[in-house]
Parts: sequence; structure tokens; C-alpha cells
Amino acid sequence: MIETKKLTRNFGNLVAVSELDLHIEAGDIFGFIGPNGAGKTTTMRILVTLLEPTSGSAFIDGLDVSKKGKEVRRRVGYMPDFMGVYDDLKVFEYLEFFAAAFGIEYKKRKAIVDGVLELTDLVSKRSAPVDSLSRGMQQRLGLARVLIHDPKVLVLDEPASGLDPRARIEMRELLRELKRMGKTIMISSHILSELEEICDRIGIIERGQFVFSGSIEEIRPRLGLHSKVRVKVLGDPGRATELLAALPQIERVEAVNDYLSVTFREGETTDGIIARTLVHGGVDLVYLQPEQLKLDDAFLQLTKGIVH
Amino acid sequence: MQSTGTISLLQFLSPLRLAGPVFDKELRVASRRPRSYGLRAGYLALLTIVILSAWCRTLALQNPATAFGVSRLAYVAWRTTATVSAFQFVAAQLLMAAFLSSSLGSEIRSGALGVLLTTPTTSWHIMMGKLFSGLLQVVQLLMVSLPVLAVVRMFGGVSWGSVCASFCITITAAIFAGTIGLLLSTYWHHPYDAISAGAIVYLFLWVVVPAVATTALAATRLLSQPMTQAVLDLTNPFRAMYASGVWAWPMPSGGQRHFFSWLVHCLFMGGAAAIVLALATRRLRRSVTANAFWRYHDEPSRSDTERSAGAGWVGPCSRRWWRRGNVAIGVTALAVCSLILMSDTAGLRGIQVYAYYFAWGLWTVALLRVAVSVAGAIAGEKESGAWPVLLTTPLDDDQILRHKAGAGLRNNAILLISAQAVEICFLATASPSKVLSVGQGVLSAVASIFLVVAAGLYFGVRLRSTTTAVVATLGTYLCVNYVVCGHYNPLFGWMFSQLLYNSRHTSTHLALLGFGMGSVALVLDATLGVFFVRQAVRTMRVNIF
Repeated sequence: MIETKKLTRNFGNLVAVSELDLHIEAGDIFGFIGPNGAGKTTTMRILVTLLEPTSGSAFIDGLDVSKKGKEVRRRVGYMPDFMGVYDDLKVFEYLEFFAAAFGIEYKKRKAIVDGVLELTDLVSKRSAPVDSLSRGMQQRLGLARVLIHDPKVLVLDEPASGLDPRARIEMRELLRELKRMGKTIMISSHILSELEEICDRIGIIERGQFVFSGSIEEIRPRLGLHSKVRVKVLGDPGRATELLAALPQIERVEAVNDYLSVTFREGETTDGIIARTLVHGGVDLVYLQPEQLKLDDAFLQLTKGIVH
Repeated sequence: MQSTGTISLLQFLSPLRLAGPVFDKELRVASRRPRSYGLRAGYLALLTIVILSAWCRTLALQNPATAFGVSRLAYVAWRTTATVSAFQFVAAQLLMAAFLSSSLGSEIRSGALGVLLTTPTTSWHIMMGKLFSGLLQVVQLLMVSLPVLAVVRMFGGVSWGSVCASFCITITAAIFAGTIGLLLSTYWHHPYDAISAGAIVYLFLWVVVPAVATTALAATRLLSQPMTQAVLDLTNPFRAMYASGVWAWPMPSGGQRHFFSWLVHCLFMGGAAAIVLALATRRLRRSVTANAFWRYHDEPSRSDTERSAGAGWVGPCSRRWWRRGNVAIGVTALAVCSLILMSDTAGLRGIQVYAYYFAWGLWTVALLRVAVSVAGAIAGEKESGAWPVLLTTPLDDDQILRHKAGAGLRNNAILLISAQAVEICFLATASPSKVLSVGQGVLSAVASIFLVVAAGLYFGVRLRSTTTAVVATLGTYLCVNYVVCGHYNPLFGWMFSQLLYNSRHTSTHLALLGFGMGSVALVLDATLGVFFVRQAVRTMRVNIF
């Protein structure tokens, strides 16, 4: 649904995006991650026809964004990181204006506006001036605007920035609902834990190039990270440490706070052996918990924090 | 949800479709903005003052009991019509440029236009929508004066043809000004910057180019040719207003010495506006997206804050373009000065009209830039959030204000000096009492600068937005120098009328009246300047955010 081939964009001497190859399947939620100035927003702007690529090409639903701009715009809904609103317009007028901008017939506009207001839970704010809305409400309005022409593809640049925790959870639910509706969503965010929960695939970009692209499960082998488990035992952990360190599958055992962090050797992931060894060794096991790889950790390992 | 089917022929030809949804939105928004009502109220107030002033100037002629009074009623009607049409001509262009540059610039700054560009709405639709909505508002204002013109027309001396011609020339000039405003707003996103640049473009197009052409043609003796005069009239809206007859007395009756058709002029201006609009449309998308960071970051930057705390030399006055542009303007002004002196030596008097308009226009732009620099240096920092940071530094309040004023003057020094040089050059060649005129001119200029700087500091401190502060600063200056003690004071008009049409008084009395009025303006400028400075220091920490 979304594809780029050797996409490059320069601003003078600054290379914002460098030969980026991207492929997002229809119906996927793709998380676009990177430090500030990595080229995320530039890539998104190229995809929504706001910027021309310096070289390479980008396609939405098979249409070249450089050549079929108008058709692409009908298929894409774009929500920028900072949504400028028109002063002195009410919420429904704002949405009706964009409905008109997308060429939706006058007779159908009211029903469509009511539909997206309901979907984004903004019915109570229907007649409120847009510039009087809170940041969270404005983000919702932005999402309502994006949906007004029922696009196949949503490109959302930091949709959760500046939102309070409740608004973030609601935004996440809304995105899941949109996925159920069959939308293809490309989303950038600095709140990586949120992307972790909703994205099918992620792409980590730095200095205009992908340093990783794939599912979250694919990150661990890619990083050469070994599986880890947390082990909590009753009493002195020294005996447990001795028993586990003697196992050939275990590379390392470290005491961290009140638990033990056990690292397997490469390719070893069986944690059943730990429980058996400890129980047979007479150690009282409280819990055994595989350590999840955090997206934040992967992000830190994959990126160097270098910005243009 | 999607429903974008085929459209019927009627829908295709609908004016709303041609102008796009932007037209509808602009009209809806304009009716809700308090500043729209403020502008209309201001326009009506100024129109009333202008009509009253014109009326008072001819009071001595309005005694129908005498044969002279009856015979001069046509002149009274013409005078009123000419004054109203001149006011409308200038106001319509200024309002169009202000409406459109403000509308486009604010949407580019807020990022709203970037969002709109991701829809199938084209740049052409956006520009046309804005142009038509601005035009509709301006035409509404122009219509207000029609009843006045209809009444004074009954005295005779004014033909409907010339009124219609002046109306059409005004409309096309306003459209052209609007397109210039749109084009310049794609470069400068603040309305006051776009309007200042527009004034420079206007001075160049309608004053410098014709002045140079006139001088060059005079050397080849082509100037007196009817065709040359026709081309000069048809391609310049200011000359076209004279040629249409509405600004000339007695009105041309038996045909002119050379060809002039207001219709041809309007077509020329329409074509020029279309070209400028096409350029603006072409630039729009690039203007919104050219910047790698796109959106305006209103947060205070580290360097801004550091510079604020260090020296206070900060604000919009540091815009590099204006500093570079000032040099270009200075060179142009020097060339115009040379032109005036050369033509005066050669006895070419026609150039004086251009010199007058150039001197006046350049001086107004210079004061506008000073107002932007000084008022914007404070209000702009409030908008960006840097002002509270500056106030937490050990700098004294009066020290900060002094530096802001100094920066405003320093950054516009070339512009101010250039404008004064042209003014002095013009006065030295045009005025019979050279020393007196030049002396008073320089003193008035100093007092005017002082008033603008002081008012800029005060309104910058009191108000939150740069645009409002600049408008208030310039409004104060114009009100004091043009309405209270200037050309548009009805009392001045009445005294002028009594002196002009009373045989007992001489031209010396008229000169004394002008000198007296200028002196009152000078004293008032200085007094108000002191008042504003004191108030600025006193209220500096009242409206910090």
C-alpha cells in the first residue's frame, strides 16, 4: 500500500532522507521511529505530496506521489505533528470545510461530519470554536479531519504528542478501531511503548536511513541479544546463583535488586530447565519471568543519537 | 464516507466552485473577526473625516445667495468627488493588501495551509478564494460612499462616466494590490512585512520606473508625443485616475490631447494582476514546504534568549533581508535625488510630481519599518515567549527600552536617511522658501521618528500581538499628523478655504497657515512622544505574557 524506492530528499547540503526503501502492506500499522531530525517528517511529507523527492520514488496504493498528486491526496489522510487550526471556525464548520476541499457533495457533508464526530467522540464539541479546544481535543479533531474523506491510508505524525495519559489510551483505542476498519496506518511517535502495543511492524530511521525495519520480534536476533529471565527466590539467592551458573545453557547470572537476571547462551531459550534445577536443588522459587525486550532499549542500541 | 462523484455542468460553472471552498470559509470567518468590524468602523470614520474636510475646504464657495457661490457649486461637487475617490483609491488598495497578506501569512505561519495542501484543493483555488473574498469585502466598503457621490453629483460638475471610471480603476488597482500582497506573503509571512515590501514594489513600479522613463524620454523629445503619454497613462493606475478626469479640474469635455480609455487600462491591470496571481499560485506550495522545519517555532530559541539577556538588541528588527534591502533602497533613493536635481537643472518640472510621491511613500515605509522594529521587538518577544526571560535579567527597564529603540533606529537608519535625503532634495527644488521649508521638514521628521519610536515602545509593552502594536503605533502617528494637525483636519480646511477665496489674504497667509500647522504637529509629536516613553517605562511589567 505504501512503498518507497531509494527515496532521497535534500535541503541544500542537508540530506534529510537518504535512499530510503520502505514497504508497508495494506491493513498494517507501521511505527516510524527515529530521533529528532532523523527524516521521519520529511518522509511523511513526501508521501502526502507536500514535498517533492530529490530522487527516488514513492507510491501510495500503486500511485506515484510525484506524478499523481491529486489522486494520492484523495487516498491519504495526513495529520501533521503540529495541527494549525483556522481561528473563528466551529468544529463542524472546520470539518465541513475540509469535506468541501475533498470534493464531497454538499448534501452528504452533514452526515459524514456527524459520523466522524461520533467516531472521534467529539459530538459534544460540535459547535465549539476550534481554537478554544484543548490540545487533546484538537488532536481528535485532527483525526476526525483525516477521516472525513474515508482515506485508505493514514499518515499520522506524532498524533499522541502533548496528550494526557487518558487521551493517549483513547487515541490508541481509536487507532485499533481504524485498523479493524481496514486502514493502512503509518504512525510516528516518541512514545515507543505505545507503538509497541499497536504496531504490526516498525521502522527505525536515523540520518535519513533505516537502521531497522521489521516486526518487533525480529529485533532481538537482529541485535544479537540473548534471551533473559528474571528469577525470584525465597531467602539467600547465593545458592540459586551457584546452581544456575553451573548450567551449560546459562551464560551469566546477575543479582539485580531483589531478583536474579539470568542470561541464556546464544540460541538457548528454554527456561523450564531453570525451574527444574532450582526445585531439585531445594531452592524455593517465587516467580520465573521472561524479560521482554523493550522497544526503548532496542531504539537506544540501534541509534547513535546523531542528528543532522 | 467518501463521495466524490461526477459533477453536473451547473455545478462546474458555479462561482463557488471556481473560487473553491476557501471563498466560502473566508467570508464566514471574516464576518466573525472583530478586526473586520474595527476596520470597517475605521474606514467609515476616516471617510467621514475626509468628506468633512473636503466640504470645509469649499465652505467659502457654498453661499448660494451670491452669483459666485452658485457658479462654483459644480467645483464643490467635483472637489468632494475627487477627494472621496482619492481616499477610496488608496484605501481599497491598502485594505486588499492587508486582508490578503494577513489571511495567507497567518495560515502559513500556523501550519493550517500545509494541511489544506494535502487535500485535492489546488493552490489556484486557494488563491482565487482569498482574492474573491477580499474583493467582496472591499467592494462592500466602496459602495458605502455611493450615496454621498450621488448627492453631490446633483450640484453638477461630475459625470457618472468619470465616477464609474474611477470606481473601475480603483477595483482593478485593488485587485492588483491584492495579488501583490498574496505574492509577497509567500515570501514574508507577517502582514506588516508583506505590506512594507508591497509599498516598496509600488514605489518602484508606479513612481521610479515612470520617473526614469519620463527623464529618458524627455531627453529624446518623445515625451510630448501623444502615444507616449497614452502608454504612460494606460499603464499606471495613479496616472489613469488623473486621465479619467475625476481628479482633474476642469473636467475634460471635448476629448483629450491623447488617447485614454479606462477600459483598456482596466484590462491592462487585470492582465498584470493575473500574471502576479499566477506567480503567487506557483510559489504557494514551495512557500509552505520549502523550509525543512516547515512550521514556525514560536518557542524562544536559546540564541534569542541569550542575545536578549546580553544586550537587548533583538527582535524582528534583526531581519537580515530588511538590512540588505535598506542598502538597495538607499541606492535607489540616491538615484532619485540625482534625478530630481538633474531634472530641476534641466527645467523638467513634470518630474516633481514623482519626486513628491516618492518622498512621501519612502518616508511612510521608513516609519512603518521603525514601528515594526520597535513595537515588534517587544510584542514579537511576547509572542515567542522570550520577553519574560529578558525581564528576569539584571537589565534595567529603561535600559531595555533604550536598547530596543536604539536597535529599531539603527536597523532602519539607511532607510530613514534616504527618505529624508529625498524629502530635502524635493523641498530644496520645489519650495520657494528653501531654508524655512527644509529646516521645518527636518525638525518635523525628527519629531515624527520620536513619536513613532515612543508609541512603538508603549504599544509593544501594552499589547500582545506585533500586528496590533504596529497598527496602533502607525495609527497614532497618522492620526496626529494627518487628522489632528494635518491636511484632513476640517478646521484647517475651513481656514484654508477662507484664506484661498478671500481676496484680502495673500499667499503669504497660506504659507503661514501651513507653517503654523506644521509647528503645532511638531510640538504635539514631541509631547506625545515624551508621554508614551514615560508610560512605557511605567507599564513595562504589567502585561508580561
